[in-house]
Amino acid sequence: MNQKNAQAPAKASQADFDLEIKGLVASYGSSVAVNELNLTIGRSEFVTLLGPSGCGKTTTLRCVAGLHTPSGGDIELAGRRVFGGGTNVPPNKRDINMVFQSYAVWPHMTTLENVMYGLKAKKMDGRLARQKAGDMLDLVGLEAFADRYATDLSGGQQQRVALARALATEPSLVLMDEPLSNLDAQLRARMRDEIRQIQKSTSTSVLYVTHDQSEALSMSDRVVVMHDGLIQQVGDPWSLYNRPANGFVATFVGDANVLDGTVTGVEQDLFTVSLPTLGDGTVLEVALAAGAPRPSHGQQISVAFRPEWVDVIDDDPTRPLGRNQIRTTLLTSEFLGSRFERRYRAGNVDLRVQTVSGPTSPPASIGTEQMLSLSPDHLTWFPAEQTKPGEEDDSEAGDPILTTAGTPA
Amino acid sequence: MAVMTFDRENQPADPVPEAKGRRRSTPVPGRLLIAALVAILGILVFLPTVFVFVAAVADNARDPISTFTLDGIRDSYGNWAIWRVLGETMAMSFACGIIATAIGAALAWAIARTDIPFKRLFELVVIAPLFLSPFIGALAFLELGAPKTGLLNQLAQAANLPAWVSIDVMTFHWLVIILALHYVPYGYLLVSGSLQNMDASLEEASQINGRGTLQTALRVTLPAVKHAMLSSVIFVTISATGMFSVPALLGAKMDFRPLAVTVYRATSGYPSNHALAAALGTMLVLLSIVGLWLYQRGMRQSSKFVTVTGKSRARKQIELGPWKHVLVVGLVAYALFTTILPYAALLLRSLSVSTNLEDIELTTAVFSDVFAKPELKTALMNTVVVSAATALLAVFVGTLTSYTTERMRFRGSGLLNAVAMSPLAVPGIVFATGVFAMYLGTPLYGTLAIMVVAYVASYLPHATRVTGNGFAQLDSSLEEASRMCGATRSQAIRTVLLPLMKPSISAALIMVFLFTVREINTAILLYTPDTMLLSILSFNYASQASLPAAAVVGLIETALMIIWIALAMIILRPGNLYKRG
Repeated sequence: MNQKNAQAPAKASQADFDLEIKGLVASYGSSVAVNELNLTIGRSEFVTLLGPSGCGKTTTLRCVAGLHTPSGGDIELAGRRVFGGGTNVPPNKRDINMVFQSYAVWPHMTTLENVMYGLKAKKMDGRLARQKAGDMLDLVGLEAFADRYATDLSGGQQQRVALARALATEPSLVLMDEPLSNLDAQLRARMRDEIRQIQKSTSTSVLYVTHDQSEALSMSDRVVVMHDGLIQQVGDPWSLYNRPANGFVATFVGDANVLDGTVTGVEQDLFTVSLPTLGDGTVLEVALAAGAPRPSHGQQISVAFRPEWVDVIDDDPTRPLGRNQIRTTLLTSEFLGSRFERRYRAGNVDLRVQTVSGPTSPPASIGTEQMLSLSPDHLTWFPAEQTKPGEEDDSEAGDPILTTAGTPA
Repeated sequence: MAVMTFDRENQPADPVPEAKGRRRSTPVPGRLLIAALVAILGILVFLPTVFVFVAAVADNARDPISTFTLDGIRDSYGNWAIWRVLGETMAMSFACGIIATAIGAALAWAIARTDIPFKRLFELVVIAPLFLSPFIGALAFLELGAPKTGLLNQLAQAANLPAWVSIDVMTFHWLVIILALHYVPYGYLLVSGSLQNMDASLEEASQINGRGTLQTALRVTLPAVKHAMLSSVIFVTISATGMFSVPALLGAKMDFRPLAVTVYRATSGYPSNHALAAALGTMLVLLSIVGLWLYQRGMRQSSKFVTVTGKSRARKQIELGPWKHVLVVGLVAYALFTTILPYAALLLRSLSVSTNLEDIELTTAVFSDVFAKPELKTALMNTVVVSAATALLAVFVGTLTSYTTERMRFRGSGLLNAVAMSPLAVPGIVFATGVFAMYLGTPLYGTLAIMVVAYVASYLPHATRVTGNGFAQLDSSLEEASRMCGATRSQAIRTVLLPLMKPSISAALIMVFLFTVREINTAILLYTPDTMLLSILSFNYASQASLPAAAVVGLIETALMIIWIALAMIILRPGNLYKRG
């Protein structure tokens, strides 16, 4: 977590951060939506709040925008305090802009007028504002639509207008509230790329909110995973996916098999862990990356691996098991063209596995016994969580396979 | 609120293929229903309107079909004095439309967008005039602000305030204000509906782009509700143009006779000139048609601001700070001035013989006087019978109409709907001239039945629109699911549709009943001593200058309306409308 520098005072105009949130608490009535949240966004950084609905990500965004009044905490934008300590700057004076989920393109104005709106509010000279708004429309590829009314545009085009409008005022931070969720899948993928390109070319800082992990992973410099109003993990997309900090992150960002076990030995670059749920006496070796935290002997931990990290060995079931190999039975197999999505039974847990098969190897039939090989480099771990009462029920109802950790099916 | 649900913007058009399928396969009972409906609407709505035009060129009111004269046309369309009256009428009603809409819109904005407390209470205060009779309201204002004798004027005099403080409600501008106050709920409901449908992020985006509260309200919110406001102006203007009772009362002193009053004068004077009345009526009809056309256009435009995401988030309310108290005081003053004070004055008046504030003596003499009169009992009975019958019939026909137009789409269903809505374009007093011409000489004339016939037609648009919106909000898959489970069409209607429609039907019943109890504009041409109604009795007392008696009858009428609302709430339990998922 990159919050060590959070204490740095930033009163000068050249602040270190475009956004600095300290101890943010926000609630709707009696329910707390955001609890003691700390977050910083550096210059030109693209940070995404990722989480399921109701995790507090949108509330955080609206607090930064000034559209929701937090019940506590501090918010500073480019070194200027906009909330906390008795100040509460109204949204129109915060030097930010926002792209709304519903686009919020004003239907009674033309595309150009929409983009010019914020510039005119800043009292920019009319000719200059027109020029600038034109440039912005150029940037999003809508120069030909300047005089069209917004309602004549398609969803994707309206999205671009909203983007151009948000960038036109050159705010220190642009907020994006699930801006792509109303677009179809193909357009979403294209806009994803486009927003990232434009963000880089204009070096704008962005706070982006989404529940879509592929959006978060593909666009962000850093991703903040939220759940129940709390930050679960902050990190770059690669480490988030490969080194999840807990079971929630592991299963929310991509699919994962999470298993509970006890550390039985720690060596220089690997440790061993016993995983009785995979079958009696199962012990796996887990590689330790240089500089990464190390578990202690006897520690309760969770071992996690992605479905695509598993190798399936089609082999004689009577052969003795090798290193990091387990005996399993194929339960279900779904063919998706590029891959199979399969469930295997090992011990008393189900494992998710992705496999690819070439044209020469016909698929295994259901019930076949197969061995799975889990390379030590393809296992990650985090300390076992004390499951809070109730939480387990929630997640189990959602997807039993993803949370087989320690609970016999 | 029910009354102003004339907008159709929330009704997605049924997909065309479905409509086609239905059209081809309208079964025999369906066709019978449609034929019956065409006949009912023809006799109830279309013929009286035609008779207005026929009577305008009829020499003999008893035989409108076979006699002919152009005198009526000459005396109306060919008379400069009438054009002047028309101009004044338009000035009055247009001013009403503007004022009522401006006040209604401002109130709607304050209640929908700011953080003032007691919102539900204030909303009730703003809507209250909708449930009260405009005539009795005017009567009450007369008690407050009649020259010299008005209570406020007496108070001002007692406090030795200068003479210019005194008010005279029997002037043109006060007539406009009082009429406008009656119409404020219409403006409020139209604009507030539009404000609530509006996507919150449109305003948020404006704030984020650097505009403050006022600028956002002017640059984004106002354009979004512009069409609703325009519609409100037009609707109120049309309605006020046909308003007879209030101008007749408050305009008496200054001899101001808007067109509706002139129509009444033409029929009630001696000798009565029905051709002139009808010809004047045609002018009003033509005016209203133009207005309604504009209204429909306005409503159609207003859908682009509607929320696109289904996600409705509690929007942040504008923090007024110290202005909050100012606004609360303002709203309390508004309630005091528009409802509480006038009705208190009315009550005071009905409990005292003298108009003089100094020697006021509370007495029930006026009450017992009025109660002793046989005509009160007749009027009360008649009012109950007529309004109950009207409410039931109008809602029945209205529900049939809206069902056939919403659910059994067929060629001409639009026309059927248009016919059912057409009485909106025909002011009550004008429609009454048509009914009069049509039924004069038949045994129906001079009975309560003719009143019911005229009322049902007058309030058919309201009943049709309210129930129509109810049908539009219910997804037709709910009925289809019932059919899939093996129910017949009538079983589906009985077991699924009607229970779900209960809120709309109840709302329509309450509304039509209230409107009928207070109705004067239509009844004034049709009543006879035997078919006396409370509203007419009150009007007659007022025009005979026995104001205390008028006040008493007015209070009884108001009490009847309140009792009816309470009864309907208990019996029907309208509850919340079932919303489309």
